[in-house]
Amino acid sequence: MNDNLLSIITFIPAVAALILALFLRGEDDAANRNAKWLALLATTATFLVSLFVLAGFDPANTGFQFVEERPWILGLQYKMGVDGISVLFVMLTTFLMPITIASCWGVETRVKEYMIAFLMLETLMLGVFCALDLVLFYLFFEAGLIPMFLIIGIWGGKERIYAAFKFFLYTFLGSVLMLVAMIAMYYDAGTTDIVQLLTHDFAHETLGVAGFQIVGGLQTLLFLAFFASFAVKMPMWPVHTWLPDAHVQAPTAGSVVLAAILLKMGGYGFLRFSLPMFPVGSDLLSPLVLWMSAIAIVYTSLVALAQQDMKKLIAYSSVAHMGYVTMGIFAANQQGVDGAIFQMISHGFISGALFLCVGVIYDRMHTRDIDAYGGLVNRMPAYALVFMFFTMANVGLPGTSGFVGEFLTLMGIFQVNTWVAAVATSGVILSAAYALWLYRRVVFGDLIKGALKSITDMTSRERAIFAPLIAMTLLLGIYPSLVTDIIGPSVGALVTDYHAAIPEVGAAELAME
Amino acid sequence: MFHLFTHAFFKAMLFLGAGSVIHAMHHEQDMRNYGGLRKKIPYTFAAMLIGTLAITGVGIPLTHYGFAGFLSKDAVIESAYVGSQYAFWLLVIAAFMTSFYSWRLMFMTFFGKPRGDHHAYDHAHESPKTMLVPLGVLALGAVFSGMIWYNSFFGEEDKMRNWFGLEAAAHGEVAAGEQASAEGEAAPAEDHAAATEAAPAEDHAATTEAVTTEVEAPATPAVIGAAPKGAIFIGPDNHVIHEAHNVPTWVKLSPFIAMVLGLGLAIQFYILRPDLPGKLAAQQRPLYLFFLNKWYFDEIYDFLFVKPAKALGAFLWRRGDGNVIDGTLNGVAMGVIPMLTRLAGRAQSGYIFTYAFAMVLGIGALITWMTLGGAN
Amino acid sequence: MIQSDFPTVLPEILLLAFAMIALLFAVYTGKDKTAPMLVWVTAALFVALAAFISFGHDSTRIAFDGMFVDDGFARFAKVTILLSAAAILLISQDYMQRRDLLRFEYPILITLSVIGMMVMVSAGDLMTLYMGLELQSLALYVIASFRRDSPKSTEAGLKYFVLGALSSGLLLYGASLTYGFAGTTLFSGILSTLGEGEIPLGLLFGLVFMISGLAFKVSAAPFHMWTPDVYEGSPTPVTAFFATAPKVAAMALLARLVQDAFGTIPGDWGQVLAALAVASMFLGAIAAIGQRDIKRLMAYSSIAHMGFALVGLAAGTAGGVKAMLIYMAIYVTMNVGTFAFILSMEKDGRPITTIDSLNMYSKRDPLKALAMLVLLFSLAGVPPMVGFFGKFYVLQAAVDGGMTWLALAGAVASVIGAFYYLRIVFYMYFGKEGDVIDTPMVPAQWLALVGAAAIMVFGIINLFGLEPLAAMAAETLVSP
Repeated sequence: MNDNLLSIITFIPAVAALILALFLRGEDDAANRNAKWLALLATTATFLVSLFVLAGFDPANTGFQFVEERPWILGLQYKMGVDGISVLFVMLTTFLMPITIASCWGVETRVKEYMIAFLMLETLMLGVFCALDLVLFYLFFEAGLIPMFLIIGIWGGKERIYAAFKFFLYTFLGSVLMLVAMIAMYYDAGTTDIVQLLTHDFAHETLGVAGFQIVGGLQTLLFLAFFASFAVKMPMWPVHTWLPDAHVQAPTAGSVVLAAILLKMGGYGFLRFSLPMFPVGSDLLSPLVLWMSAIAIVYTSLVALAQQDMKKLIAYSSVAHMGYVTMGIFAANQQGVDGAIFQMISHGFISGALFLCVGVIYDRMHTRDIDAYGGLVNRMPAYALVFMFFTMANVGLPGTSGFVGEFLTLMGIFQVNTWVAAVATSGVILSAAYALWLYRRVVFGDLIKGALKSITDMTSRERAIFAPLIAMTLLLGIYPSLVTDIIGPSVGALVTDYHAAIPEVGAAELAME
Repeated sequence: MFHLFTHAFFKAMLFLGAGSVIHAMHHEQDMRNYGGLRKKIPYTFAAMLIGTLAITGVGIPLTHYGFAGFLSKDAVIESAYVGSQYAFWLLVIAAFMTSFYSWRLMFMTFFGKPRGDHHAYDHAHESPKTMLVPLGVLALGAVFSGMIWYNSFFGEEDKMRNWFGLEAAAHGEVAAGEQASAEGEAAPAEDHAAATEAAPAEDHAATTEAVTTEVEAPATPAVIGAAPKGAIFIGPDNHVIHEAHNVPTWVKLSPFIAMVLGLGLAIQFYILRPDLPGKLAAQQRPLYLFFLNKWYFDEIYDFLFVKPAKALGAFLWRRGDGNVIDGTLNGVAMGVIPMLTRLAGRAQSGYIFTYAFAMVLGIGALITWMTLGGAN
Repeated sequence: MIQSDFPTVLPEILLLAFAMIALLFAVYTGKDKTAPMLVWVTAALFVALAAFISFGHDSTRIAFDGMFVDDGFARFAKVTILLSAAAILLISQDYMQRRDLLRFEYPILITLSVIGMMVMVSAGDLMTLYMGLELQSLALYVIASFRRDSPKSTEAGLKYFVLGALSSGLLLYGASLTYGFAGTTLFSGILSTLGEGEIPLGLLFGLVFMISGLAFKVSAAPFHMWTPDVYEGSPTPVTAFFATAPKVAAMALLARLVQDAFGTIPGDWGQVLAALAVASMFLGAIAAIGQRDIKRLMAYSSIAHMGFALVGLAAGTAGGVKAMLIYMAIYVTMNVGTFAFILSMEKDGRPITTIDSLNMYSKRDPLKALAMLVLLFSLAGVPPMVGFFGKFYVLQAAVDGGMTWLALAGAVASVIGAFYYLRIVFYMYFGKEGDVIDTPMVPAQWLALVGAAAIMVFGIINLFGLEPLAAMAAETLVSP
């Protein structure tokens, strides 16, 4: 069982989707209910099985574990495995999916297809985090676009067509560049096995291309191509504009998955490919990335201040938080990378929960306009409490997981570039401003809007959805070593290798000169 | 840090108490409309009293017996004395002000005659148990937390270092820097009022809707108590705390004196001569308004930070995101490409000679390219 | 001599005999009444021949002094051609019959053009090349104007004929130039005269002219102009046929020409093919965006796809040829499925080809809509559909061949191209409620559509063993 545990968890949802597609007939209530229950069952089963992965995972081992390998077409292989960096993303996905499914209990239109889309999406997301073959990774990475495109396009809001197309084409453009880079890597290294690629030393002699001298050579080019893909996915300023549109138009569950898991693929990609495989390219371009992150944090926080749409505000806040992640990653030290991973995990819980919070009132009032609310605390005290909790977590209140991530990344970056750290820290204040302001406008104040007078508080289903998220946010906030113990050794190895690769290069370049 | 810790107790308690009062007075928040509530809501009154005593730092000078605020505030002030005379005097003045406004609150709310809506006064009632129980717990904390935890913070430096888990100290400089500056700013500001604590946004949340603070407040001590390890770092050569124990006695006494002075002034103004503030306010109209509007801090903040930030945000959103980024990308996607599409469509005229011409052109271009450049 | 050559050309001769007999049989019996039966028999024969070719011998045989080559490459192409032609015949029968188009000449003409294609892919000499090409083209000119009472169909046939004549002229001119400079029409002879040194300019001219003539057949830009008009004007089954088998044949012929006759100068023709590839990919992607008619759209789609196939060929390596073969096989499968659907699109019994008629089709028939969705994403080259692997192989070949810029261009073009496939998905899934078209399907069409979609999904497991076959085929062509 241990040999193909990862395949099992990856494909449980796909099998469930297949069963739904083939055997479930009809559009009536009973069929819809069955579809929901089957989806919930499948995602829960996935989560439970994935606990075996976590239980059997040995943090001290910095290599890949649970590896399985089968030959595939053209020297490619079907290879799966997790290490300290990816295992928690797998867990995050399996943990959040049952919650997501439970959150769309109220969907009434085309329920079966909806569930199939989400189940397929889960398979593909898990595949991304488990894949140990370049092309396999790309396959999962790209294929995730299809269900998301449909989720936004079919079940989305008014502007869903524009958003769906924008989402698809933006990310597709980034990824095909990555595909070309992957092919170039295959050509250079002769393998698509990620484990071998991690130890492969990609050429970094200065290259002359079309009259330009490219320092760092192939590595720089490959880095840029991968960067194009992951930066769009993250998303980083200035290629973030697809995200607010996609978020606003996506149905609640779609937003949750998008913010909580799909965005993390970009960060994961940086950690899996950019840093360890192209250390020279990363080193050369990291100042650029760091400044882009810092700009992103301040810029998007300011933009968030100006939003009238709740989802858009949270979407911009996500972009800002992802700025911390890229900053932490490219600080390339233990705290920075630890913090980046931590921030991604914690943002998974928090942003997911925030979108669920918006979903709760959207389900009741069918508007996301902040001005349409106010004084909800009078009618929905439990909701006000939950929303308050996650707003605080989003701001990074100590005691919640949001604080640890931000703090570690800031600490990491401070050692590398004080100015960037200073700029980014000001983002913390801005984030407090927009988040609390949002909270005040929605929850506080007098309940004067007539439509709100009869709004009801959260149902027990909704409470049950939030409970695990609150528990995780608090748990990680109070006891962060739950995460850092698992990622620590792998991150340590990554950082050590990274720094080992750079001075050697510096010496080589000096010798050449 | 000690002050932050104890502060959590009595500040939370005051908020709870205020919430209770507001609850009692049917959501009336203006103190000038209170008065004489002592008899109506005795438990709340008791709790508020304890809170006030704690925040103003009542205690027996030169001993370790007193309300939480006494011990912690004294510690802060003493440390400040070691650090800088300037800060020390500011703090003492702040302590005086704190004392004054806190007691003013007490007197205006619970003593004297009801000044506001009689209807509301008549119907004022004690809060339900759900509000009173936390109040009681916090009151205990406010009284005893200072004495109980004094030693774990200040007794011995070793213990204190253990408390904060300083083994992660190596990379804590950032934290230290931030913490120091934060504390420097925060100490006077906090004592002013919750109102000016940080950003105006928080200000709104805190003052205008104190009711909900009860929701948040019980969590606060837990949060502070659970500060992650490595968050606080005290340099090995930092002797401030050690020296703080050895300051002159007058320094130790000064906050207490400031407190008593504040109390006296408050009694003078609000118990003995309730008309005096009115007169003073009339005499010093601009000054009064200035204070009434919290030094116009809200307005200044609003003008200096909030509005520009919002404007900048809106600008970046509409121009930056909307016009520049989306404009460029969508421009390429929706302007240039459809133009090319139309061009291709126009070339597709349907006439055979056009098509033939295109073929001939194509082959001409290929031949030219091959002979001139490509072949080499 | 002839006797020893006979087994080599046996499949072609069998087909030819069948075409003659079928013609006589139909003329002297029930004429058009026999047509349905003929369609089935022809299709069955195609499949049988495909099986015969693929399970027969696996050596390289040469007939008629090298004018006709029967090697692994030719066999791969032939099997693809035969199977796709059979599939097209089967899915089109119902359509033709219901619109009273099913003449008995139809399967016979298709057979003749298939013979032409088989000769093309086996050509080892410029003469054989031209003979096969013309046989194929003449049959195609006729079936393009099959609907004689429709001006559009007639116009399509005429256009195709006139422009085809022009392209044949170019090809012939190039062939004669080549002959003039090389002194032989045999591919192997041309190759041996090339040698190492400087290539005579005349030979280069000849090469460019011949490539241009063939580029017309694969409808590569800028020789593509006929494609949209002919695709739109011809009856849909004919369009489906145009989009599949002839493309494979022409592409294979192009590969054979450049590899067998000019294999020592890949740098030169690689440049030309790369230029054609870039032009086709971008033109196909950009021009298709404006289309409202799904047949025209498929025309531009096939232009873009030919561009990608040319990318593989331009790399000039065995890997490139293999990539091209895989690409073409996948492309043909996708097109068979897609056209099976287009054939069934109708409203009130009249065929409909506008895209917006598909509004909310997914509600009407979720399974078929899903199959189309898979096919469209596959056409766009989005993983995990098999269409992605087609693109992956050709891009990989380009990078291996040192043409990374070409791979980048292909990548960008595929993003632009994705847009119009997505738009069809958009109509089917997100569109407005409204009049929904009918898509009555006979089993053959249904099987083609769903089968093609299933192949696109499950093919990722091992591409159904296509890859080693294509690799073997490419080896026989490239390693001289």
